[in-house]
Order: sequence, then structure tokens, then C-alpha cells
Amino acid sequence: MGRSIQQQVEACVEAFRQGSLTEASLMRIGELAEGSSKRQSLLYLQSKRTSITSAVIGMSLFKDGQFHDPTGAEDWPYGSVAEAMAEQPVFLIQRMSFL
Amino acid sequence: MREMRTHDCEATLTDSEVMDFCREGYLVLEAVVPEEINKRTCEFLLQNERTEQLLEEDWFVDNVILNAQAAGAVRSLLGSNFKLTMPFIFNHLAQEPMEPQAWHRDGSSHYGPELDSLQVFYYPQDTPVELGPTEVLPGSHFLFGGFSHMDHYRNFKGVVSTAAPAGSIFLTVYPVWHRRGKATSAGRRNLLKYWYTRTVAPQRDWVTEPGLELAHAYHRTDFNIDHRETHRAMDDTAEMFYWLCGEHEKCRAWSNNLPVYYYESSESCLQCGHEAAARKARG
Repeated sequence: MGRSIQQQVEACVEAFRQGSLTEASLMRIGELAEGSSKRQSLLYLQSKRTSITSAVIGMSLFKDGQFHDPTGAEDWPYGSVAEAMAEQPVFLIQRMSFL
Repeated sequence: MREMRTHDCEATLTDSEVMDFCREGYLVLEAVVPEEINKRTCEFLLQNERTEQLLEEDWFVDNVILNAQAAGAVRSLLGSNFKLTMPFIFNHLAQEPMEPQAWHRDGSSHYGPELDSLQVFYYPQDTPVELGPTEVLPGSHFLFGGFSHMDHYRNFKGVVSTAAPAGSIFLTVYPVWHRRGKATSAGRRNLLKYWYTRTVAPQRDWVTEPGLELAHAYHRTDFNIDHRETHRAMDDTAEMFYWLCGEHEKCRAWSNNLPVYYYESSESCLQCGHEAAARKARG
């Protein structure tokens, strides 16, 4: 898997400090940004209640062309829909719990 | 091929264990089949493509299908002379690392308090999480979910893995949500699946606990099910317990449609001290 935008920026900063920064490295940031804007991710969250602050009881993240499944609920990145919204711009579908 | 037959034996589950089963929708009996039978079963499955031929083997029927601990639990839940659904037995074989199966409940599932059958799984070999044992969502046997609307679910809070040593048998309510877990290593995972059905009307003829009121099925505080509204989970679980006791008509108050939990208890529950009558009097 290639570098993320953040990783490329960090590599450019390091190269700048060492005096080896190239025009191609900077242009690569633009390429990554353009590609990123075309790629869509999908985050499903099931919450216990309909409030966006309600606890998450189920999740599924499809990103960069594949599912990312944490091993257990204790490893889930978000405790609520609100937490997820605060972190990154992804598509969110909130599903209330079953009756 | 053996014909369908019935079996009877002593019931082994207690009131509390039956209530637990009503709430969770499954029961795991770890390592109840002797090791020599597990090995023999694995060898048989390696050499025979027709799994149902196992049912012609007395050593298999006597030690697995009629395993004393499993049969005692089945007798508790389905009553006397329960039926073995021969010749139906299937091996859900997995051998390679693979992604988890989609969550599902099996076809023709119905939802309600009636428990007229049990779906059973048997692992003849050690089945650690690396081999992708079945995962179960406790309490999901009361969740109505159309199969085609369940495909986007992947990770639920509260999921239980049935990873277990060889010789483990687990019983489930048929519509419980389940899937094959993610397998991260190669290895032969046999999972034999078969069924039992009821032949008699339900009655409370398992190991009863002295002084236990039926309404205690409503009083329990361990309904920690995230995926449902708590009181719906309580009501459904209690209703299934009442149904199994042959007392289904008593699970709703006579004067209205509320669960008896709210109204019709004359004294404190001996099991937990719950005082429905006193609460009613206080208004």
C-alpha cells in the first residue's frame, strides 16, 4: 500500500530538513490528494439509541478497497457516532438498535 | 439408513439454566464427547463424503447424538421422547484461512416463544479461534432480521465465539444469528450440524428449584443485551420460559395485556425478593 498524504508530507518535511527535497516529492502530495478525493470510504455504525451520542453497538468500516475489522468491541475506534464524525470525513450510516 | 426415532432420558438442566437458555439462545457443553469418539468421527469424515452415513454407526449415535449430557439438556428443553431428525446431518467443513461468513439466521426461521426444535453443532476436533469457529450473537433469536437485510453487518458488540475443545456440543434456538468466524490459519474444521424436535406438549419437568415463582423469569437483572430494548428482551425471554413451563397463558396479566411482572405477584419472589404486589399497592 502506498503512502498516505500525511506520510508524504512528513517525508517531504524530513527531506527539506536534510536539503534533499525535490519538486517530484512535493508534486506527489498533490497526486495523493487528488486520488484521495476520488476514493470513498463507508463506515456503518449501529448505535444503541438514535442520538448521535449513543453508544456504538456494531460497526463496519470499508476503506481503501477492503474491510477493516477490529478484533473486538474494545478495539473499536469510536464509542459513538459523534466521536466518529469528529475524527474524519467519512460516510456515516447510523442504524438504531432492533426492537 | 436408520429411521427417525425418539429418545428419552433424565432432564439435567435447572430452572435457572433453562432461563439462561431462553435469554441467550444457545448453550455450550464443552468436551462432553469422549476423545476416542472424536478421533473416530474425524477419521470417518476424512474417508466418507456422505456425512449422513455417520447415523448408521452405533458408536456415533450413542456417544454424540445421544450423548448423555447433550441429551439431558435436550430432554430439559424439548420434553420427553424428543425426536432425532435423522437422516439430516451436515458437515460444515472449512480448511483454509478465509474471511468471516455473513451474519445470518437459517432459513425458515420463525420468531416467538415456542421452542419446538433445537439446532445442534458438534466439534470433533479442537476448534480454536484461528480455525474460524461459529460466532453467535446472544439474544438474537428474538430479533427479526430478513436475511437480505443483514449482509452489511460485520462486527457486533457482545458477540460470543464458540471456540472450544474437541468433543464440544452446543445447542441453539434455531433463529439465533450466527456466522462462521474469520479463519486465520489452515486446518481441517469439521462442524457437524443436526436437529432435535419436540413430540410432547411443554411442561416444567426439568430440575426445578424449590420456591421459584415463574414470574422470577421477569425479575432477573442480567438482561444486559445491547441490541434490544431491555424490557422487550425481558418480556420475550420470560414468555419463552412460561411457554416451556406449559403456562404460556399466565405470562400476561389477566386484567390487561401487561406482563405479570407488573401486576400479578401476591408475595415477594423467593428467588430475588422482588415485590411486585407491594409496588402495585404503592401505585
